[in-house]
Amino acid sequence: MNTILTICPWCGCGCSLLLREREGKIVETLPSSDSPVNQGRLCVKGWNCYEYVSSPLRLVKPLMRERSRGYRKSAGSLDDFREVSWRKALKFIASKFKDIREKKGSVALGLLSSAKCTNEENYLMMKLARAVLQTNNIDHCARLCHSSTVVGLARAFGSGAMTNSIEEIEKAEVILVTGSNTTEQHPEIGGRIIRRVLKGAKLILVDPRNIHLAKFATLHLRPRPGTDVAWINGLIHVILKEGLADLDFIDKYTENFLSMKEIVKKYTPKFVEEITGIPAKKLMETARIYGSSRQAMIFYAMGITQHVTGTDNVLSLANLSMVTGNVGRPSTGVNPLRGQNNVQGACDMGALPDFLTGYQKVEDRDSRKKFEQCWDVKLPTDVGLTETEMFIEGNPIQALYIMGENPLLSEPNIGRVEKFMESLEFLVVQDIFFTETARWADVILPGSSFAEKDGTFTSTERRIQRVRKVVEPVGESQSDWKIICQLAKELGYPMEYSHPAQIMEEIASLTPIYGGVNYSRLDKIEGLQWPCPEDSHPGTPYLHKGGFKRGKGLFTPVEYKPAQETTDEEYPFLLTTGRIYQHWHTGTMSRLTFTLQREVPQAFVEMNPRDGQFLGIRNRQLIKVVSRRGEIIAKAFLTEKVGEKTIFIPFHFSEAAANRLTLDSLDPQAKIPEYKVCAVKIELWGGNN
Amino acid sequence: MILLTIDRESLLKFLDKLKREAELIAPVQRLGGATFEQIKDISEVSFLEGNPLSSPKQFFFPQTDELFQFRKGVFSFKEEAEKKRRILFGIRPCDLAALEFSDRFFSSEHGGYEDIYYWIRRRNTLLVGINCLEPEESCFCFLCGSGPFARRGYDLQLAPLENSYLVEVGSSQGEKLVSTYSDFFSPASPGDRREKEILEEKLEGKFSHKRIELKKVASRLLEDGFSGAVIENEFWEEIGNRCLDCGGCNYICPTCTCFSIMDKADRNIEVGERMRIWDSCNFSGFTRMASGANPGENKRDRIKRRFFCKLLYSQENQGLLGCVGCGRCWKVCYGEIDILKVAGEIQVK
Repeated sequence: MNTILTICPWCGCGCSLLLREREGKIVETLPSSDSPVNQGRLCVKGWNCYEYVSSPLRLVKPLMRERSRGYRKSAGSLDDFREVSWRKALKFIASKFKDIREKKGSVALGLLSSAKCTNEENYLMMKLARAVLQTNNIDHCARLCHSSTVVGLARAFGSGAMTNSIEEIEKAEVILVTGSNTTEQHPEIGGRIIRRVLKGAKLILVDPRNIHLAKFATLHLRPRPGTDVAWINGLIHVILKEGLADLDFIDKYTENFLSMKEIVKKYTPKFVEEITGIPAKKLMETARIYGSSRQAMIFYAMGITQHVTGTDNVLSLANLSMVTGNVGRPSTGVNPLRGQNNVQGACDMGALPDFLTGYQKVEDRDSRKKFEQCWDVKLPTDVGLTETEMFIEGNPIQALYIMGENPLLSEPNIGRVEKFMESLEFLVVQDIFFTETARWADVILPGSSFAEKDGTFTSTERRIQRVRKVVEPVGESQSDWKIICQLAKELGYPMEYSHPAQIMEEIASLTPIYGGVNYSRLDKIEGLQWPCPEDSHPGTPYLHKGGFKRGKGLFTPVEYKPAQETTDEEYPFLLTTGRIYQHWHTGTMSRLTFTLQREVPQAFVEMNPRDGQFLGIRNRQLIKVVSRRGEIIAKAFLTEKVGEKTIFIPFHFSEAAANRLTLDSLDPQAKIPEYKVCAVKIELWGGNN
Repeated sequence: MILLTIDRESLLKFLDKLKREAELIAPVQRLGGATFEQIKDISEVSFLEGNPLSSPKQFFFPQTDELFQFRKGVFSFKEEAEKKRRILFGIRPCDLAALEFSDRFFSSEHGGYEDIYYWIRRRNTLLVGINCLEPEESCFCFLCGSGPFARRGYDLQLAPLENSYLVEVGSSQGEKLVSTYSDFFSPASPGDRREKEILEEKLEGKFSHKRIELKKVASRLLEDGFSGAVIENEFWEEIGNRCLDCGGCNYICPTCTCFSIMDKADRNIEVGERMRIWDSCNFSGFTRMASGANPGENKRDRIKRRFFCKLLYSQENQGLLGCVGCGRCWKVCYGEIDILKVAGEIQVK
């Protein structure tokens, strides 16, 4: 029996927990009382995080698609694959990669790294892409969740991460939450917000849905989906007009204020009301509450980022914080809540087509040179393709290597991705389960779960924490970092590390923001918050103290642009997608977790009861939802959570995949898809079941 | 009753001896927090003032517990493997009281069902408890009649004195232990007894909570009978709003005994195992019917049921209060739902 401290594998809060192993299996979760993050609390997913690790459905051997059955053109079942040795699988992959590279060039290769994997694994995947396969075509699921944050905040502030820390909520006077269902998606942060509000802080919620936090909100503004720039500009308009701006701050720390000021002139509360549906009076009240506080924190998530105007939305929030001087001090800031346990880390590690580790630009010669010297290889110079671009027909990609991601359920407009898959020459999927994406693979490599390896995760508040091995990997599965090392060797570039600690040494040597990070320093409960440039540096709880990372904070004038697809007579409902508390993304882990699956066993469509009544739809009746791209069948759930003419569908469920309906239009800057708005129609389906 | 004393050094030696003949479970202070764990080296044993966040419940009723395995129609049962002897050291009076509660729950005496998986572990475990001198802010055992000094339920119970521990022997098994290792013990003097009594008297003042008669709270609940006549819906609504459905209060509670059954099988459903897993009455799936209809759909109703269970039904069914005053549920709660505060408010309704 062993009890080992590690980090929760679900969301980006970074909660510590202890896992108890008995006879080689994990049987219990014990919350960590000493963690400064969760202080003994865990959400339902955290409490049940160990269960899928020992699922009998885990992949335990490398698999290869049987060639005889017309593979490559369709999704297969497990019976279409045969078990092979690691040696054979890796040799085959290496020979295919080499072959395709010779014929079509490195530009034909694409790699997707994983926000579920450790920093060390993401680093090696990035190294494999750039140093070994000579391509910058590397990306990961941050493209689908916060790429607009990385682009937007980097441009405005000089750093694309959460500016402040979770514990600073305790001293916030005003908390503005927008596009984040915080109690469901970041329960630790949601809980802290509730406790702070109970002690007197004001909560402003801006969200089209009537989410749980609305019960605690001083004001709840419900904008039409896709109109965020308008209401944020409106707030700035009122703040400036009523003299609530921090002109000293603007003068001292920022630039380009006047051009932003010019743009927001026309966003009067009345004009904003026409666009967003938010009553002018409420907007003014909100502006006064936020604008009057110098301890106001903004929290946001996918409701802001997943739009064709995602980057604009983020830039607008940055404007709002700078106008009031609410950045660069404790209990202020613009705080993107990162979804995955290690999506912050995967970005930090340069699993991005335009950045090396620590946001050092691929196009920057000096940065490249540093890596070239360390890796003893010449590096490709052009920015690579983003994940969303890798699935567009007509791109140069011929082979994909996907580690721990399931785009066949998480990419928008899945029908389009399937079409692309039909034409893809070679696909390698490394995962712990036989996912929707693995069905299309030529080779499947069994990776390992968080509980089966050592490494580090970086949480949403830039907190780097140790992940510790509790049990051995199941069957013949291996730690993902070991797999990458073996494949690199097969490709003629030896990567030899005895332990992830050694990989972290290399990361620290190349990455200024991780410069002072090493495993012995991480052997304490609170980990380290980057930037941590030197061994003696204590880490950084909040960014931009005494001035912005980029020099001066940059105001960007942003105009409101309508969503890509609006409702019409044929498609009269607006569909917005998202997640729920009990499930995780494409459900590969949560749907195999008994308690979580029992809580929410199947897909549903949230619909306003008045719409239900109008269409003659009863609660829990099966309905068909149709968009211009596809259709799904799921149960209607009549609830006041959504407004009229708007429906919400979670994207976790493969049997009723919301992303069959969604739109693959991209934000032009960050290439993030517009998951939050598209037009659909509702049809009755079948009998009375 | 046999009363003995043992000094700290001898106690460690005594525990070391016990470790050789049984699995020794004791509090360990490790990175992340204190937990009850199997002791590999006696130096790991921690004499912390408070209680580990997780109670020793897991050693009798684990979070996931394999009941049997199946392989193509052949079943193999697990309980034989669990017959090893255990000694649980450092259990506090609140957790001893919780064990008395779960003993009743898992036995047939109170109209229930004799749970062999629980009892195999329970019967093979000796309990060596320690009385509390430093109650935490969240502790209210004295209101529940479960502490800070234990009256029953232990095999051996230690009371920390100035220079040694006073040892109370509570069972024939405990008596056997001290006689086997009699070298480590000395007879207690009247002065030792007096010292313990003084400590106990002094302790009363260390609890900062106001006096709440939990029995009275139960009678208020009985009067209400879920009707809302005494306790209006808004009261439960407000508490329900603060609940984020984590299940933590149930999971961490030393007297929560609800579980569910799950099967884990391969894709052909030929090979697998049946397990039980902790459940929580705060989950909506706890009472949802196959049609989807759910008497517990509303969070307000679920949280209300939990308090009725802890404060009223437990007394009706097990004859014991379902709360032992350990304060753990408050510590793990996102919404700071404090059972004592709730009870206090019900009392004055």
